[in-house]
Amino acid sequence: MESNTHDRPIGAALAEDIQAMLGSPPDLICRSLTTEENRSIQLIYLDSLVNRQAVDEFIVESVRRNAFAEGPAASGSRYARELALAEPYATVRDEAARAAASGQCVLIDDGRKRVCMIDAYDAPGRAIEEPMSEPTIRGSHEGFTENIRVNIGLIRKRILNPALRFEEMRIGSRSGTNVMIAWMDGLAPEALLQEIRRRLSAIRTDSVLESSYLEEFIQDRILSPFPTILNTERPDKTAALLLEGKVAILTDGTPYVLIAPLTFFDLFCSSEDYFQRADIATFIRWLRFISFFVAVFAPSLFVAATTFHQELIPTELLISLSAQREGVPLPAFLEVMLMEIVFEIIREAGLRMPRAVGQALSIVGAIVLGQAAVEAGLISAAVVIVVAVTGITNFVVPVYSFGMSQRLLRFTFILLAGLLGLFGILCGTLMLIAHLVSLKSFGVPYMTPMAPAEAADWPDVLARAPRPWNDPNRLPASVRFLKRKQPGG
Amino acid sequence: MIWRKAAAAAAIALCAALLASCWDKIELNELMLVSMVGLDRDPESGDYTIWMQIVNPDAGASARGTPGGEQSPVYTYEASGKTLAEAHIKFYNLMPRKMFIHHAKAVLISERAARKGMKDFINFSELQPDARTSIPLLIADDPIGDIMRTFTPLERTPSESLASRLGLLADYALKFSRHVDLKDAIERSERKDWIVLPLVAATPKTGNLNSWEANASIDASRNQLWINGGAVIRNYRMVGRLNEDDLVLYHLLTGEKGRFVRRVPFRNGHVTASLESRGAKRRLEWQNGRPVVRFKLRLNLSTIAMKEYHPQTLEEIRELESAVSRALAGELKAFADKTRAKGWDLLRIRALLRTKAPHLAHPEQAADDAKVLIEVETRLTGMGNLSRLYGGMGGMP
Repeated sequence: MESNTHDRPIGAALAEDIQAMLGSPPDLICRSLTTEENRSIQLIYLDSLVNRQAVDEFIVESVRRNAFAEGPAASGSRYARELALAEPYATVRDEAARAAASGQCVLIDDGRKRVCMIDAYDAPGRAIEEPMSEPTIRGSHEGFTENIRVNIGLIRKRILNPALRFEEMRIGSRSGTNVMIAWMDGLAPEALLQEIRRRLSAIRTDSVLESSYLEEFIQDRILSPFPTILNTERPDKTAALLLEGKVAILTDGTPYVLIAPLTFFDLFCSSEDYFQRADIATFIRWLRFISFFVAVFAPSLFVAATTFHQELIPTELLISLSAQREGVPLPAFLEVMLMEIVFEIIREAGLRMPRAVGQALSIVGAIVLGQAAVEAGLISAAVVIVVAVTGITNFVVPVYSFGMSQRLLRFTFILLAGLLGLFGILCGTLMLIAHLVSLKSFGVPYMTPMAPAEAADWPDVLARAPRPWNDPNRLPASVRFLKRKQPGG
Repeated sequence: MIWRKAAAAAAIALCAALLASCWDKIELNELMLVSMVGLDRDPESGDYTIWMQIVNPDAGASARGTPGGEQSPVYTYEASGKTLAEAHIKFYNLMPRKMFIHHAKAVLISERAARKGMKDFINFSELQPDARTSIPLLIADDPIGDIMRTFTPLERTPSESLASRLGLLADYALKFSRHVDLKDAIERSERKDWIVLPLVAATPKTGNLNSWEANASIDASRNQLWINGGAVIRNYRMVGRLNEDDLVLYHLLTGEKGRFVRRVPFRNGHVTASLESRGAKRRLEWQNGRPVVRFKLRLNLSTIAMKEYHPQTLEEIRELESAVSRALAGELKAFADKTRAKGWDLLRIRALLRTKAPHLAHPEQAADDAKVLIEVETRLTGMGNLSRLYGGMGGMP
């Protein structure tokens, strides 16, 4: 490719080389412009990634009127950068090709011996919509989009404060994904920021197509069912957590923003808790705690009680359960396991299916599971109730990834209950508690503020304390913990 | 490191498998839920007989909607043997499933066996790892086989019906205490104390006695079980019985709390007093070296059942209270004297002397010589809905 440079103007050669490097895609536009001084300028951009109006009205017009100011080589903001053609040709070519691929306009000015890369990025994407996984009744209905700039705007409009900081990183050797770290200067602990920067910089991957890619690299422990980084698609929640001194990581191409650190009790908090009256929010939070225990332990306790510890069941209930089990061919353990698996299959199928079919599927699922199986004597009605209650309580938790954790834990506990009864559940619970207290999220113990105990934070964890009772300057225990660790903290 | 941890976890799991757990696994439809146990011993042959009343789960509404109304709610199995263990094991000649005794709601012992002594039964029961002692122990007044083959309406099983009735009789008739469980009988007998256990009999039987007939009949007073007084037990042996009037007096003196109704003399007639026991206190005093046991009872009086008289003034109320106190104290003293004359220490004077005067040289003699004083304090606390009774000539005097 470099051979072209000897017998033609460098600008035209560079334009051809960039075109070749990008594989001459159909959306690549190469325009030759002539300025009022009769200088020839090559303009290269991907039509699918740039704002055409901005290119025509701003770049092309400026070039024609020769209004482009000459700046120092290889300098400038993120918006416009310049490279001197005197630099090594390969460097200039690669840089320009990368810029064109990431939605910038590459302007090759032969006369001034400059290559200018101007940001005119405007990729197609959906509009701001209600978050799919975290809808609320009261409060903002805006959700993040796949466009990182829109997402930054959504945060900025909630925090009109110059202390709001964004730091850009490019991660993914092939995808070159734009990643932003966001924090409030003065609130976020420096140690946390340094640690997030260190972990993000250490990522060696070819692509980042979703924030979960980053999450897997930077989470504290891989082999754990519990998330140690919160993901949300709610800008209001992100803003609230930034104002609590936490740090957000925005990834281009996904509406899910990562927030660290995360503690176990944060998983029970929903944005809506803070949009409701305190007493109602407290009641709902306790419903979530109860739902967590039901979702994880109900089927296993059912299996343990009905196959090992019948003496624990009240007599009337035992007689009723016994009547239901008459003629059921499967042991209770297999019955519950089978139903849970079928339920998970139906749920998974429901997620993937088109909405119109999904409704039909849910009806079929309900009839097959709830009625036909019981009437056929394959499954006892109590098991259907237990599985249904478990399934419903699983959705109560406001963080979807935590719901997934509960599903995994549930199957483990059913297995333990089927093998060892309550003894198995007890062993599993002890292991679970040991695991939870050993987990950390960016240096913060996962069970904060219970272990280590920070009694001052309990009112806003076990309940939702009314706002006038809270000290507005008091950061949450997890952030205070990190601030104490930093020098001078 | 992960593999080490995994190996350690696997080792722990394997060790856990050795524990008595998964080997105990049993499905609900492999169990026979025992609802009531009946025990008898033939005094002539010495053979033991055990009855097991088993719940039929299919008799109620089942999950599959199978109408179970035509099936018996309980099945009674009977087995005999030279020993209790032999009789017990014979059940598997008849039963297709494992006996599950944890949920038994009542234990019945025949009167003839109770009079000979219940120690064998209680020891055998206590030796079973799955037996419970927190269930009522009743004495069968009629042939126990008849009682074990009697249905009761409303409640699903006869044992539940009996357990429920004992609670109601304790709260609303003061005829029983809530401490008539197997464990209470054991504790009292081990302390050489006395206990009164409920006597249960079967009411007259008419017509076909299958469950459908029994449930379809409007006359719920027939073909069913009846709580028929109390059996006086000492040292695992039945020594006598108390009638229903005596049962109230006995429970008043033992400090049980509950409501009851009593007809007491007042002025030149009688009034019906609705009373509520608030407990009794016993105090040991000494008079010239003779023990005096002073009982102080507190009663709440209500005129809610008093159709004969309605007090209008404070003086009348005090007069009524005094009359009730006097009448009750008299009845209680007569009951105490009667039982002491029989040699029954139902007032638990020996137990009181053991506690309050442990170094007494002749406690038995002192207990026999002890003087009993009974004081009753009655307070009117309820007046019903009328401020004065309606007049007129209609009605019985």
